[in-house]
Amino acid sequence: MAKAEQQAGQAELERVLIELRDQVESFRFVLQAPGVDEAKAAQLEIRNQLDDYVLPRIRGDGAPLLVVLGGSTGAGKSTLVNSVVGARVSATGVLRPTTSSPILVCHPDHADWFMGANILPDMGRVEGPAPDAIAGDQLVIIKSESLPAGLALLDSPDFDSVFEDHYEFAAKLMDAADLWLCVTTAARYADAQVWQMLRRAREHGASIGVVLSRVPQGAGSEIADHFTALLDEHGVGDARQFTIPETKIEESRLPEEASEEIRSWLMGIAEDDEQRAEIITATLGGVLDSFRTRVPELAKQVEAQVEARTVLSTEVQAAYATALAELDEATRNGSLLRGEVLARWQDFAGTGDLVRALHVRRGRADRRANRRRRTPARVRSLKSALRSGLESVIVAAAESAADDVIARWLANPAGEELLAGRSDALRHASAELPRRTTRAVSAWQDYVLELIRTEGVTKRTVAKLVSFDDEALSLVLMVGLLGYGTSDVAVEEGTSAVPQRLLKALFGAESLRGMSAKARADLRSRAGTLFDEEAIRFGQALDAAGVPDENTAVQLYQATYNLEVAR
Amino acid sequence: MTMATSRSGRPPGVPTAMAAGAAVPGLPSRLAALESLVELGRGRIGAELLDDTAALLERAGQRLMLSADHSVVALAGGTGSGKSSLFNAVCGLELSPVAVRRPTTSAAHACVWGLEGAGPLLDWLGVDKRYRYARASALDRGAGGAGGAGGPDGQAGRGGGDSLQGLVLLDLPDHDSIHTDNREEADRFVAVADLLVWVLDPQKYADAALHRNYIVPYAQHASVTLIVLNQTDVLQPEEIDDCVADLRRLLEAEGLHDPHIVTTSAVTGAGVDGFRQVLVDTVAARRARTERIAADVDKLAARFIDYCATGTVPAMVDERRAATLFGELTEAAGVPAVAEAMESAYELRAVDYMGWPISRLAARLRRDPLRKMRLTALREELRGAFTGPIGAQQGDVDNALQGVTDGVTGDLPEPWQRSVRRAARAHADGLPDALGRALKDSLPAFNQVPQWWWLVKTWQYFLVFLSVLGLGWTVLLVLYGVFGLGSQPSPLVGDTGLLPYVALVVLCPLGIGYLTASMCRNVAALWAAKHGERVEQHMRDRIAVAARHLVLDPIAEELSAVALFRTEADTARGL
Repeated sequence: MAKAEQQAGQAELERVLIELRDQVESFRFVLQAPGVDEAKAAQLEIRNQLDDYVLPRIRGDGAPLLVVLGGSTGAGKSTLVNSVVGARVSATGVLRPTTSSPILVCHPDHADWFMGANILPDMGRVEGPAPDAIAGDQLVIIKSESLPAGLALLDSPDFDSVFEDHYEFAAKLMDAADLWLCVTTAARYADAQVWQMLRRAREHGASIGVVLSRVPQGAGSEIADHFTALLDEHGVGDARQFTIPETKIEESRLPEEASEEIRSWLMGIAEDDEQRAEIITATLGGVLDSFRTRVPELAKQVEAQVEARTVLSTEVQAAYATALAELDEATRNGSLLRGEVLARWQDFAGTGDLVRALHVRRGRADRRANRRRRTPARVRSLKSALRSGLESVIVAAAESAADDVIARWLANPAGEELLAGRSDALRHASAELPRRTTRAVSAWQDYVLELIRTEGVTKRTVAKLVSFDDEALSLVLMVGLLGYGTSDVAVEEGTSAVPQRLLKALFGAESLRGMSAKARADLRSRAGTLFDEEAIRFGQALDAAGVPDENTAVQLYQATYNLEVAR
Repeated sequence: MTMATSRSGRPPGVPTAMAAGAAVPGLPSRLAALESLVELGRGRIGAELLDDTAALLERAGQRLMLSADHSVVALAGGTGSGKSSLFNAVCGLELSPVAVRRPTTSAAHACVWGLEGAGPLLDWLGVDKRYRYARASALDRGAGGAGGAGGPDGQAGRGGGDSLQGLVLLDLPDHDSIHTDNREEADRFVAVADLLVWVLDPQKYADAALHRNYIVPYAQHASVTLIVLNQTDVLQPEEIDDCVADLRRLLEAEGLHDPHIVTTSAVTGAGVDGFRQVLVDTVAARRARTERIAADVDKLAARFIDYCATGTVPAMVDERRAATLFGELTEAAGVPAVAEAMESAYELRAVDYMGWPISRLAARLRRDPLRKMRLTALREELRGAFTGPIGAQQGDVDNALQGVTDGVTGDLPEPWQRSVRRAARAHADGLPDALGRALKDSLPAFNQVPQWWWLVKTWQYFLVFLSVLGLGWTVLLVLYGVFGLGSQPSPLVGDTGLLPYVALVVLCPLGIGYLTASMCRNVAALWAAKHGERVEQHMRDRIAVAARHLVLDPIAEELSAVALFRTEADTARGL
């Protein structure tokens, strides 16, 4: 009954852990943010620790206690392993680093369990004794009768030599240990790297033992005391501590008396089921406890990613909003009425073509034939000048917005990385923009013409006397809209410039105001659409990066909670 | 034992011109080149590199001003590798504490042979006064026992090669212990020492902390780097060679070419004399100071390569693109439109002057929509619309400037591409107004009227006067001749036979006037067209001048900066 319950609990725990593993694996950190490199490493570590240690340990009840020896290069890890096993299983030597592929020594009964992909499933297996040249990610498994059944020793590569992959293996193997034995020497016990690894082991919930080797004769107590003080200072004072003096090494082994203390301690653990179970439970508990802080920290980084993404897309919006505001200003304050537009207007208004667009009713006489030919030419010129003026101001605004976004993103580390390699494509407005702008501006001009036709209700008093040319008047309206020699206030007060006065006389103030508002709103919305299409390119760049979303963080929190419930 | 071979100095006593940097040819000019690189690069390339360069220049300047007779040798290495033991062995005294507790040394110790002039140097190095020790050369425990009784100038008689006169030996704190401020202290000295001695031991010689943080970053300092493998007493004699070979392989793999490796044992004293001899040679050569700086310059100058253009840097925007720019700016300023509007205005004015007054009168009487709308004043305002060109479209100008640098920035490194683009846009905001001014200057004054217009105008009024006169005459003829009104004042108004001739007098001026008006209008139109073309050309020229001045010149300036930058970088690299 109790056993069935326990089994059910274990199955549930396993399910929750697999869920956590999948959850942790389901996303990538893509945006550069403070602490993201650490988060990437933490993500990998959590996943590896689940795969390498936690899941196999929960499934494989009764598997031997795995003691991993880690430590500085030259500290004598291999020598220690050889001494404990009582045979030369791991190479030793003066050249650093010596051990390049991890060597696992276990009792023949458990060799199959270790050969199978239980613990450390993503590392290859080679049955020892191994050939000399072996790739680092192969686990060499050596059977030894001299080890008790409940114990396995793993000689891991050093964590501080020039080979960076050694560090990675050392860290990976540390996470897979039931008991991590840190071996360091009298010459290097104050190395920063040693303490960094010890801190890491503590944070990841490992059970820790420390070995101080190569202690010079006569200085033992002074160093040991200092070492103990340092251990206390770094919060690992409760770790079991051993000292090995500097001695003659023969056949890659320490003299019996030097290694006896460790050997007997390990054997004791191996033979005492209760103590072994205690250590295993403690380590497993420690690891699961560590997830309580490590997974939420990961989730926090995911939230930071989401935040970074939001910041970047806000930058895009801000840049294009600025562009739209600038465009608004440019189409209002008369700055567009320069150069060609102004010249065409002068030509159109000054030569009397504007006046000729008005006709006295009844007076449709013969001379129209003569003028008809001339008028459209100037009207057409003005219209196309207006169009190209508007086009260029829109395109220029879009260009500067794109440039602005690039500058804003480059100022942000996340954006900088995102832009790497594609800033050239995004720096300029899209290739279709000029074409789309032409269409949009033409459509706006048609809209204004339509406004004149449908809404330009001519004042009745004027309508009796004068008729007019729609096309020419739509241009007058546009020129007026763009702020010909005036501002909004002046229009209201009546002391305004030619286009407004003419239009007001024709349509009345109210109707003119209505048309102006509509035409302006229409232009704005068309430009807004164009800019939105431009901004989408940056949104696509963001989407393509595959930034995790808010849900991922929530799911991580949820998985942590589920784990707590299942324990 | 492997010995430093390449550094056998020139014989002591030979007068050496110790002008700053003389020992390494070209060093002053390379430093000068670095200085101008900093100047050129400010605001254009990464500030970090420039700051590093400025720091190096300052450091080099200070070091070159300080004692040339001293060579600063720093013993650096990991905790427990025996730096202090070696330091003491060379000094012959227990100056630096040696212990089993780690880390032992937390502040740099200095021992000076020949104090003269060393004070300011030690101050500059920042060695605490408590940890400065002086050795007189005469008391030296020389390698051959024959103390170099040399004077301060290094002349040491027969044993001259053994004198350490001029040596400043530094024992640095470790770089890899849990005391992080030790590392900062060590870094500070490693950055300024003339000769770097890495003290390694068989246990730690492959430590990542040393190789990653020091050997690799200082790989280019091979000429001022010495590797000492200490504690050889823990190894068997045959193991030493294996160890050295492995270490050599490791160092060469990391880019430290032909490393000088010396093996010592501070405990047994083996090899310490060899190490001393290297120091003696170094001091005698008196070149470490400048070689160190040269190595720093080498390393730093190499970082400038990324910012150097690879291909040929064009001196100017090519003609085709320049022409495109002129064209686009001409469009932006609306030159054709301005010219056309001007022609229209000219023609209109011509009609004002030379038009047939009678047809103008007739037009005035026509139905006028403006008058109907009570907007007569508007007509005058419309007439006054010709105010001449005002500026250019900012948008067009911006777009024109976008493309102009594309052809020249292609091969340039990114920061220079940016700076060239920035140069092109330097005057973007002022350009529309500048173009407008250029146009205005090239247009003739508007109230300027050709003389012959006045003649024609007078002629036209004369014709009107003639026909009015004829009309009056006709009226008189009709009154007096036809209706016989009273007595005739003169036969000229009484003779009806004159009527056909007088009618001719009335009609001919009308006809002639009309013809003159249309003829003159055509002439004016022709003249306007021709004049317009000329003005347009003139405007184009002025725009080209403005564009050259405000756009192309800044670009050319920037491009010459790019080229100069490369030249200076080459000089700095000693090419």
